[in-house]
This record gives sequence, structure tokens and C-alpha cells, in this order.
Amino acid sequence: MNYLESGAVIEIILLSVIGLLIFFDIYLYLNKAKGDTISYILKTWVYGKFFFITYFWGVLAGHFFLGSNKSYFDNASWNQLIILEIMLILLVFGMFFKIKIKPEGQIILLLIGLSVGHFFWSLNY
Amino acid sequence: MHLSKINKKLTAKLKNIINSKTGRNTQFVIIVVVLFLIMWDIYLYIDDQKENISMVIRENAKGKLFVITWVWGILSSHLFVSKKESIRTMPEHIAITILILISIIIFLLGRYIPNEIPQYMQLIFLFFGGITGYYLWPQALSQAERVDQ
Repeated sequence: MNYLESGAVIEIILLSVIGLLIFFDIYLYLNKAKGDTISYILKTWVYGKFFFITYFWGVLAGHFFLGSNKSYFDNASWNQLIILEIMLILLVFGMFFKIKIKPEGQIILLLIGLSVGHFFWSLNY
Repeated sequence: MHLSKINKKLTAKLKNIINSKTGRNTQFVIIVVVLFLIMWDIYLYIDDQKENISMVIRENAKGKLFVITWVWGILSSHLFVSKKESIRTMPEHIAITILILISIIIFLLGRYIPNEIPQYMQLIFLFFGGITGYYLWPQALSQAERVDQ
């Protein structure tokens, strides 16, 4: 493993991506066009067809910050399968059925994602 | 419904999509960035590196930079939990200033804590951030989105 593949480089690239996104968003906020900021676009997606994003955001939160101590399956790939399947179901529901999620529903999706990320996609084992 | 009507509706929809220039670049940028991060993480994972993106974020959030967890909580409610315009608590720039100040305080706090913080503290930061973000910096639902409900 050389220097290019170490954690420090990952940190630098992540920070620069985040920094670029922040500057881009400030530019979008200040320019004349309304409704083109990153948060606005994500909001329209989430309140339209792609509410699986909310769920996935919760999963990532559980994955990054929480995590159970033992796997519930002997074969760990079941975990990823469950996460992806729930995501796929949400995507299909959003794309092909006329389902709209209210703000309360978004909170529930976040909480479901958080617990799924905690129990099925932990970094602790 | 008559076929020509369906046809008209479809064309109108397509025209709408093609003509909506606002946000086109933003959508493109979001998708490119997310795809880049996913591909890169898969590469790191397959290549059997010691660390991948998740590990790096996790290690930092567990250690001195637990401000990450807090910001993640704020963003959760900012991006995904919206409110009506009328029940916004204060002007946006004041709210953002307050949030940045609290974030700086939490960041400085992290520098003086010697050990890793326990896992339940992460949960507390996440919820605390989410609730603060919900009251100070929610997005407003547009008229159309409100009518849909």
C-alpha cells in the first residue's frame, strides 16, 4: 500500500469534494435562477418519485455513526441484500405508483433507514 | 381516454422536462459526484485497501470530529423534512449563522476530548442535530407540493 491509497488521501479528496459542493451551492444560491440549489433539487426529488434517497441517507447515517456488535446472519452478504432490496422496493413504489411522501413520512423513512443501517450494515464486526 | 389525448399529454410532459433548464446542471453535478464516490468506494473495497470512505468518516466521527455527526443530523432535516413557509421560525441567514456558531463550538469541544466518544453519544448528536435543523433551517414546501398532499 503506497501513500496514494492511504486514509490521508481519502480525507483530502473527500474534503475537496465537499468544499467544491459548498462553493457550487453558494454560487447557485447567489445567481439569478431560482430553485436550482442542491437542497432544492434534492427536496423536489424526495417529495416526488425518489424518496428512496431519504431512506438511503438514514442507512448511511446508521452505517457511519452507529452499528451493532454482531451480524444477524452467518453470511454477511445477506445484510447488503436486505438494504438493497428495501431500496429497490421504495424506488419501484416511487416510480410506478402514485405515492407521495409527506414530511412525517420522510421522518419515518429516515428512522427506518437509520435502524436498518445500524442492524444490517455495521462496521463493528 | 382517447389516444390522441394521451399523446398530447405525453408530449406536453416531455416538453416540460426538456424545457426546464433550471436545475439541470445541478442535477447533473449531484449525479456525477454521487457516482464518483460510489465507484471510488467500490474500487477501494475490491482492491482490499485497509481503509475505504466509510471507515475514514467513521474513524473521524468517533474521534475528535464528532461535529460530522451533528452536521449530518442538520442536513437530514434540511434536505428531507420540509415545512410550510408560514411556520418558519426565523429568517434564513440568522438561522444559518446560529447553526454555524453551534457547529464551531462543537468542533472546538471535540479538540479537548481525549478519548473516543461512546456510540450512544453519536445517536444523541444525530437527533440533536436533526431537531435543531428542523426548527432553524427547514425548507419550505412549494405550493404544488402542498396541494398534492
